[in-house]
Amino acid sequence: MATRAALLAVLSASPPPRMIRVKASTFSSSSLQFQRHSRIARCFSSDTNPSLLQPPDVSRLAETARISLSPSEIEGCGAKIRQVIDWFGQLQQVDVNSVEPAIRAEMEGGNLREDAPETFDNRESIRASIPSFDELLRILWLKRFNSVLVLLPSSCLVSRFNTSVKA
Amino acid sequence: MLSTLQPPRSLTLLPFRRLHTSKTIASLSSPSPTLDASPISPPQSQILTTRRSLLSGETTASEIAKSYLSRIRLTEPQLKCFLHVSENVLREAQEIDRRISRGEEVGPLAGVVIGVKDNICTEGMPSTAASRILEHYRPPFDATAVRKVKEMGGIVVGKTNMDEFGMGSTTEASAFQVTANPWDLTRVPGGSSGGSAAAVAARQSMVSLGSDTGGSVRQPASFCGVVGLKPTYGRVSRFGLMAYASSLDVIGCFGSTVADAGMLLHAVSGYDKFDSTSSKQDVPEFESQFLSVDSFESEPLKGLRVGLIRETLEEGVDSGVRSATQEAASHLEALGCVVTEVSLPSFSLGLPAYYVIASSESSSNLSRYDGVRYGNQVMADELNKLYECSRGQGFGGEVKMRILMGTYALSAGYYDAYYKRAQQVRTLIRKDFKAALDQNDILISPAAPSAAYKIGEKKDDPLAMYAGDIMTVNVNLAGLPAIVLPCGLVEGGPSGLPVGLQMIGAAFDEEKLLKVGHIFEQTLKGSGFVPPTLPNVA
Amino acid sequence: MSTTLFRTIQPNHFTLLGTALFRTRRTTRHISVRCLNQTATTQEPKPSSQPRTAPKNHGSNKLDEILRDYEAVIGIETHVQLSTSTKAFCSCPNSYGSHPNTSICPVCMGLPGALPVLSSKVVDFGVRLGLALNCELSLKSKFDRKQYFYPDLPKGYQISQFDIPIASGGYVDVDIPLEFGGGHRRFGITRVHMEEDAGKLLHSDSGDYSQVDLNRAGVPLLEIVSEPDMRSGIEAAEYGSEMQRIVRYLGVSNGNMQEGSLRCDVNISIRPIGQAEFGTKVEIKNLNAFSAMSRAIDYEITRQALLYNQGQADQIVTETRLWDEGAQKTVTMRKKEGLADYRYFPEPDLPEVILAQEYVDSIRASLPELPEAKRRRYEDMGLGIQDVLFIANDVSVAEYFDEVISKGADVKSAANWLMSDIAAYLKNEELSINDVKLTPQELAELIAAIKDETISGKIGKQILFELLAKGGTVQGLIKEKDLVQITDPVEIEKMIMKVISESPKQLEQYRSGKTKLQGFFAGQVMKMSKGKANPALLNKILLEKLNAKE
Repeated sequence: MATRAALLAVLSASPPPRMIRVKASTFSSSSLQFQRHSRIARCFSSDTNPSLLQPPDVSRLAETARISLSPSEIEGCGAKIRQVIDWFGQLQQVDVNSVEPAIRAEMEGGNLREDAPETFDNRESIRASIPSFDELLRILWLKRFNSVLVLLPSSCLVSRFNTSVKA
Repeated sequence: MLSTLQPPRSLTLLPFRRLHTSKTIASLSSPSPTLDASPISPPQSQILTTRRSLLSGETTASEIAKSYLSRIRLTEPQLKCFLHVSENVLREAQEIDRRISRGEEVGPLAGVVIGVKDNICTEGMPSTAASRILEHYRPPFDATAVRKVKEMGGIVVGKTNMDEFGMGSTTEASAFQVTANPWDLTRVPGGSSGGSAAAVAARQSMVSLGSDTGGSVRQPASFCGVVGLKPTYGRVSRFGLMAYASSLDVIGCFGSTVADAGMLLHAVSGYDKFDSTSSKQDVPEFESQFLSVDSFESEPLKGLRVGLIRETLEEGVDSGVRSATQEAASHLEALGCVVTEVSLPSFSLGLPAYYVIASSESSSNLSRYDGVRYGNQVMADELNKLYECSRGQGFGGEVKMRILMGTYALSAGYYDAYYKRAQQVRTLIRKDFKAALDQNDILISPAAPSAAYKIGEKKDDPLAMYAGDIMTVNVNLAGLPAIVLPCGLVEGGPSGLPVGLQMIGAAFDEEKLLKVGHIFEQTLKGSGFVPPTLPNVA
Repeated sequence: MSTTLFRTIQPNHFTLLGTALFRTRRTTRHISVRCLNQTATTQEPKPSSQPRTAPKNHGSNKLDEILRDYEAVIGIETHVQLSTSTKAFCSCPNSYGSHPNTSICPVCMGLPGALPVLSSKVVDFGVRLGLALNCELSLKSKFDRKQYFYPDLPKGYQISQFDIPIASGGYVDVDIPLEFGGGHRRFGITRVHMEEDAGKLLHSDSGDYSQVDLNRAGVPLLEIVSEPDMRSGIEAAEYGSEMQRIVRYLGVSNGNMQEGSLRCDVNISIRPIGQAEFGTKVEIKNLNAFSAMSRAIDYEITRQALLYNQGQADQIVTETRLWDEGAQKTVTMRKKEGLADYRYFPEPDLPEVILAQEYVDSIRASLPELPEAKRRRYEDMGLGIQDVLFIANDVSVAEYFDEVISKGADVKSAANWLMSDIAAYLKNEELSINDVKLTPQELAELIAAIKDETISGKIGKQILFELLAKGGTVQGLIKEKDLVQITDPVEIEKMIMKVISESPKQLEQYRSGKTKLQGFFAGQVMKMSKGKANPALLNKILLEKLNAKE
């Protein structure tokens, strides 16, 4: 299908696989049928073509995972990660046709809970662990600058200063 | 096939050693296939001994506790097993003594000194998972396993060191300190439950709790010469165990004897309403398995079918380990077992499948560590910066790496290629095990391809380190129970290095494992695997 | 159902603006084959593909012409907060309005080592709603983790259902109010799934601070995704109202938009009539009432149509817009940076949700009569559509009505009383039907008493007020206040003669042509009889007497 080819082209051309720009209007309604449970799964059937999998872009991954890495970390980490991901590649060779994925070991279903409220006794301790917490109002304070959020240290809550900090 | 591991380069670098057990390590006799009376008595269960002597008045809980605390003081500077030693030990011991003196009932673990791995929540006591991001964090609740241990009278003596968040096989990845192997202070105790294993080996605690996601109880047990017991997935509640890989994590037990590990397991097992993945299967009374060696018949395990996993004895495994395993197999035969080779065709796939699943699940499980509701927070001007800095500075290198790999593997378009595939491989592995366990009562293998290696040896080569998990990860993928018990020594260190035998059972068949393990241990000629580097204790 | 969902690739819409008290939600990108033979059943010809013309303040002929060329394609995502006693995955109390951060525990706070445990009630409500929406239930469904970072999301992921929701492939039938054209519509339901809510971010007045309250984190939600079957603001509003009606009928939620227990996000695109391809989809959030939804949609349709018309269709981008109630327009929330990847994977901490067929059947058997069924039944009883819509709108009113009928009361009378006097009373006193002291039994009594002419209609109205406010019985009041209608012609004649004799001047005027004065005489007789004279009889005899030649 033309649109599928377009999608594959997007994947191999664009850098981080995380950011895939897809305009709804590029899909012709008459030709596209996606299984509801697949993501872009149609492109990755059991005979996955490894060349379509972009190597990991460590900076982008770090951004996604909200972890800051120094440039040397990016370099060092990056090499190791690529090595391991490469090694993961051997999974592609396995024939898993018609093999059901196992989420975990065999399990009984169920184990549901009654709808009976219970108050957790030690809520004070939970609140005590919160770095920015206003005891009086019992809320977590976040300072906003230009539509983004910042956490206030507890000491600031008493005076509630309004410093404008560059976002 | 181990040879298809890509690339197990470092394994081939290890010199192949011949095992000179009985000849070179004179002070410790080798396991002999005979069962005649020996001057060396089999190892005693510390739990049963404690119980006996407390109830008979021979000693008090306070005396016991004091002796353990002083040993900890004595040995910690060298070993560094503990991240935190409880301030309440003597108080709790005194309470037990008071109750005993009043004739009140005390639990089956009364007075037992227990170490708890630092990724298991203990109310009011720091629980950091050996990570800076949780430095000073004190949970508002006890893990179910800890609660049960306390209910039975156990005394939590402290929190043991580990690889950060369970990610590692040496305990070198702790943010705070490196634990030394009591058998050789220049070597690693294994990981990630290295602190718990070493503490039991060094007799700093009688038993300890660890966690096993890919071998983190079994491999350190092997490295430290203690018993490590991994229960079936769902046997023990995970509530309060800081999640690493949710579908693989279990809480496991260390003891200096099979009986101790088994009794500790019994104490913490059972369905928990706070853990939907915990099983409602009955927990048998394990204690009845731990009969005195005197009561054994001549072939106490007659007819037991034992499958030796072929793929675990191929290239890449230390020859010393291989010999020790083969001798263990002979020992089992002498006990009446029928030992045959079995093959698990998907065996080698377990390693990459495990690491895909573990990285993926951990990348998700560790998202909650953001500095907002607990733990160390790094101030920043902007929200994402706050997250990034708190996590960037709070997590160690290995943790960061696995989170990034997991993030990659779960990304859109990659899920099918990695995570889903790994889950499919898991199904294949489960099938293999099931087939093997249909033909055999238990399966056996080494616990690790080598004995303990030097601190710093594998630090920079992730794949080399991962390769060491080959013996253990498949068991986690299949969710089966397994026990590791010391079966021999190989060259290295001041007096040799212990090697463990892994026994794998069918789901929820811990009873059989404990029975076989106990008999094996009680009939093995040896000194009970006490590290000679430390003052000798019974 | 050929609709397919690109669930992992979603617009990235995390930000805070002004007074927004919203939650970021997934947008579904409906990349589907549209069934051109509509599943909608209509009794009248399907309305033309035009979007319903925007309200009067937009109405210019030129605009109408432009709008005629385009068709709006609207889908709605509804989040229903369930009225369970506990949260979805922990036993914290689920109650609105508690002090911040008091209904918390390790599980909903995402503390290390905490694990989710699903409440059976959530499954029950999910099955209930799925059946009420005529869906197919998945006897085996599972949970998945939807991952992103935000301060109101303690675990860094939301437990939801991705590829196997508990229910899918259903529909809902609605009636469009008469004033907007009337008619039946059927709108498809793509899926219903269970998930947990996030906490609340509250923004201070000064705009400098935001506060995180995690009481709401973990509260159970059912998300309902519609097929993009709506074509106008009115249709969308009616769909939303029906969702509200249904959840209230079922008792799974109080469906209160102000409280946030019912939240609707609209996805809208337009396309030139005849084009099969969909246009670019825009999401609209911050809709606090169905009327706002309708207006927002109409505005957005106009905005997009104008852009198309000016050849600037490419200015319509995939984005989330907010409805600004003050300015009565949609505004950009934030320009898109690209699509977010939620990295879905199956939740390992929760077992599969397995439904036994008997369980489903027993729930199905216990479902109450739903709004659609009620409406059709009332129609069959002969009520007009206005009455039908009014009574079936509120389950308590409908139940009240049903009880009144069951006591034998005349259907039309019952409907009239409810819609006029009683509704007015409820509105004035700000009460609900459950609060009134007038029992259905007594209303039936009242209707019967008027019907058999024991009392007059006017008297009936009078005592209604007292019955509503203070209760009591109709018979009791009639006796107490001596309200029995006077139907004895002799008595009436007596009174008439008295009045006539007392008002010779008016009689003169009447006889000389001012026939309107009949009312005067009637009024006087009524006064004399204290309102009890039977009006029909009164007028008959009066007329006789007035016109009699003396």
